[in-house]
Amino acid sequence: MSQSEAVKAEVKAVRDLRNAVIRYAERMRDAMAGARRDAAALLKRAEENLQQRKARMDRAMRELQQARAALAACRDPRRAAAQQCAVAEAKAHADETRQACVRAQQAVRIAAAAQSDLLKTMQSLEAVVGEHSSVSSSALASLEGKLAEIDVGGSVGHGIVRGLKAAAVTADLLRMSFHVGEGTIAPVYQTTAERFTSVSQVLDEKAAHLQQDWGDNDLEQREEHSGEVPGP
Amino acid sequence: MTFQQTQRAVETARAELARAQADTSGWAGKERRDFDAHRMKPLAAAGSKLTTALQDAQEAQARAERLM
Repeated sequence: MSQSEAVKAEVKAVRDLRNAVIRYAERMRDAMAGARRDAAALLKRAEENLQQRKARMDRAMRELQQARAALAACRDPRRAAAQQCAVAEAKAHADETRQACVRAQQAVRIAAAAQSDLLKTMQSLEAVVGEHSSVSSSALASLEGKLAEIDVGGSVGHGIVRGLKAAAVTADLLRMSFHVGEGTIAPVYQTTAERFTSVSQVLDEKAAHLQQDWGDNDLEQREEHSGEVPGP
Repeated sequence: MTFQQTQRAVETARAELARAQADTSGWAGKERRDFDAHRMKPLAAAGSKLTTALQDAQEAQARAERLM
């Protein structure tokens, strides 16, 4: 494979990887947005269920009080037995609705805890995905651009290829020197971004300078004859 | 979409990212290895953590729904 073909293959690989990273980040963001909606919907359903259970329990308690009041007011011994049965039935129903209410409260607690845990996890994941996909994408775009320039330039040797690749990745790693969540992302990011620009500029200038000095000759040939003094 | 469907979508995205990594061997060398270690690995790990979190949410949903 010629140098040009190798660079072309590298450009394609870098471009494909960049697209894959962008697509992955989008899918992760979509998934997290969907999960956030699902968690909110679950909590809402649990809360609505609790309200319904409370309303049923309140109704059952009122019916129990009415049955007890009716029993207390009953002066007819023949109807008292029927009133006692009504009270027992109302009490059983009230107990049942109270238990359902307790279960509904537990469901709300579980849904709220699930939502809280999920949001907490996703908050940190969003920061990680946002940070890494953004920096990856820009570093890969930069690398792709530089490789494409090399390819257009034609006869630039491995030394410059390596130098330029190292520039893009060095900038990427410089940005890795801090971590998400430490609270100083913005200023450090800006500083490293500035360093990246300056590293790229230096290498661009160096590449241009070398090309100018060595004309159309291949750098690798120069490297092979490193003992010779380049001609004017 | 349910937590389960979201979880499947994340797993698909993770698999596609891993495939893209394997399919882009045209860019190789130390820089690529560094890039994979410092950038791709955290991205993949985020997907893995999200899958776990969604699994937990799905289980919590099942518990809550049994109580409703």
